[in-house]
Amino acid sequence: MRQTIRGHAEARWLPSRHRYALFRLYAYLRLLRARPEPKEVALFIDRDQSAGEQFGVSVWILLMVFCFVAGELFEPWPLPLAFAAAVPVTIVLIEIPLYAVGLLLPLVRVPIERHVAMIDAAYLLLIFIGALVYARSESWLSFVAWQFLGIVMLNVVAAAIVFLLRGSIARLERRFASEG
Amino acid sequence: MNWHRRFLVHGVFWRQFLRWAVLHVPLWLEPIVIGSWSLFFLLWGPGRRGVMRNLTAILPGSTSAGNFLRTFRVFWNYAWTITDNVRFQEQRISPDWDFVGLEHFENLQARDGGAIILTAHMGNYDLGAHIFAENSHRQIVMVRAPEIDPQTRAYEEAKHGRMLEENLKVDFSSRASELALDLLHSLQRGEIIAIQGDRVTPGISALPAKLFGKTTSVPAGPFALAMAARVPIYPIFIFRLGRRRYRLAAFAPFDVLRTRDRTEAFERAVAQWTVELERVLRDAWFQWFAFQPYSEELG
Repeated sequence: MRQTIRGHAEARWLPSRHRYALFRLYAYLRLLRARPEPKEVALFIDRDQSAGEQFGVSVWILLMVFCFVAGELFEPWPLPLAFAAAVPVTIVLIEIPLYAVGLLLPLVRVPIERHVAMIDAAYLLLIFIGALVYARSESWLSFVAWQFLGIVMLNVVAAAIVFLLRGSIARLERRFASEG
Repeated sequence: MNWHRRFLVHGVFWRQFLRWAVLHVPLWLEPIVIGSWSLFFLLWGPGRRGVMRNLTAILPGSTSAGNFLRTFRVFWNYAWTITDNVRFQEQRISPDWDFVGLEHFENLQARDGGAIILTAHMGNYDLGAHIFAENSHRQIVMVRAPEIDPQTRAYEEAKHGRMLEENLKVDFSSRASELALDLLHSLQRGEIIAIQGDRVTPGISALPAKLFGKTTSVPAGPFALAMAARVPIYPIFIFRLGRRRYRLAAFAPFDVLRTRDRTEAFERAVAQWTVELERVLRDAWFQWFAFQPYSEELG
């Protein structure tokens, strides 16, 4: 059930306000050490509520696609020129799966509540395939690919830790829920 | 009706597209999509020029190049606020809030009689009214300017009909004379009226004002209603602080006192309002969603 926490600014670190395991784990550690911050605030509980997390992931994926575009589509060009040309192409290219998959989903009768998850999965799959392909290349793009795979692995490890800590996290969440 | 009207800037296509985007865009992709569409809407000449001209008055000495970049910031903020609004309506996902001047806000909630909330086209007016209604036992009437495009108007009115809280009613300022009487009765019943006081739409009576040294006009309705119903005006503004973060700032209420000289009473009240408005706009020019020059001197 969605809920609003009032009067506790430190509740911004509630793990339930974060989506990815790495961020949930970081939020949990911050919340453990956080001092009470009584303020006139109303904080909404939603897993996509954290601006830092969503902007962070956004910039990370944008930079990665930007590197793939610059290194692949403009490979013969000098690198500075390839980077300059990759900016507008990346901005257009990164949105294409959204519209392509988004327009396809109603045709295969996927319920609208699942559209975001399906589109998200399509992006993840595309980037994962891209990373696997470039990880074996000898160009500088292999570094980009490996850092993606590395961070995904880190997130898997964080997910395992969050799973082990689920009892402690739930207790912390309940404490705020009862006060909020 | 010409088929292409729906794609004009006030056309219904963009409202439908926004709803589609809210229901389809993964959250991490949202900043990229909003950024690119904000960039696209810089092609909208009248809107871009309107914002840039307003900025020359709010920020004296600012350059055209600087104001062009600032206009992108205005469009970026606007895109986020309308997205947050649709997300709340479709998925009931609320942003985080913080409150400034909470004592005035609580005073407004606690008082027995009616009151007028006077605000501006900034931050998230719609979302603010919904949140207020959700957290209040008071009946609120939100007065909106009607959409220019008939299809968009029908779309918005149907949406408001579906989404409203029990204690929130939306009325449109197009039917000025009947609405004035309805609003007066609402105030006399102890209800709260929320009106935007920074822009005059055609057919609405206006009062002369000065904003950032330029002559302009503000809607006469809120001031006339406050005088007739003897209720205070609460200046309240909703600011967007960041992604899914808003601030509700309430300022000290003021009265429009009945005196022998009505003109002078209105002048004094309008001056009180424009002082608050200037103060707020000077700090938060990047979220004043006035896409037309506010003064003929700027046109």
